Amino acid sequence: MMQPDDIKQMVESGLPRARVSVTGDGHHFDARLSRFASRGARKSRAAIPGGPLGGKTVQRTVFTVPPRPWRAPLRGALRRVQFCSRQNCEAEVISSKFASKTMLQQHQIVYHTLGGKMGNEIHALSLRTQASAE
Amino acid sequence: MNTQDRIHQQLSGDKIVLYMKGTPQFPQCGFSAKATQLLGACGAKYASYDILSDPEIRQGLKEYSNWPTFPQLYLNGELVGGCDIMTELFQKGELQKLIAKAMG
Repeated sequence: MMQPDDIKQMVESGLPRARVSVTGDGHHFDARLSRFASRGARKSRAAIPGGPLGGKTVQRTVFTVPPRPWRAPLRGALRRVQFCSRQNCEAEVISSKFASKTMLQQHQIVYHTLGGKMGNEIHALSLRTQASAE
Repeated sequence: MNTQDRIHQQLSGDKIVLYMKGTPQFPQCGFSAKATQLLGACGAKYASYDILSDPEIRQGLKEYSNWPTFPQLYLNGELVGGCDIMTELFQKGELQKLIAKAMG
């Protein structure tokens, strides 16, 4: 699992002389198991990949019709994994390479330094980029 | 039809397209949820596609746009960006203008 420092190192080696700061808890699993009653829900068991709950199996409910929260039974037998963020990191990158690039291109440059890890090992990386003078 | 053709067809079908995890009613990821909130705040009428239910589109889009994560917002077939860029544009008041322009 990628830690904030690993991300920082990869961006720095891809963008020499850039100022990089990465913060985050690296391993945060932000799943919220929420209680909803639902009609037409399909239940399945899914293993959570990575994170402190890694390998654990939770019951997942896939909704085919909107749930009716106001009918939720208090026991909450039906649960839903609402958020899938396994990792939340924030990165701020300041580099001269960003000069005269659009925000989209600046983010693409940072993603490029992370190779294929972005969107895979790194689930989410909130990014702020800024051009600096050489 | 191959995946790239399908993406092209989806993007030319609507002026504002959001590829996300889940649906606007039931987003499956906090970042996708935020993207739908931002679009809602802009009064956008948009088409959304759930990439979790379509692995081919999910992979195909990463190559199509050279953008590794979701959500992805497209205006008139062009990638605007993900959640961070949408948020920053919104705070500057630019997303509202882009959306209004796209809706004509």
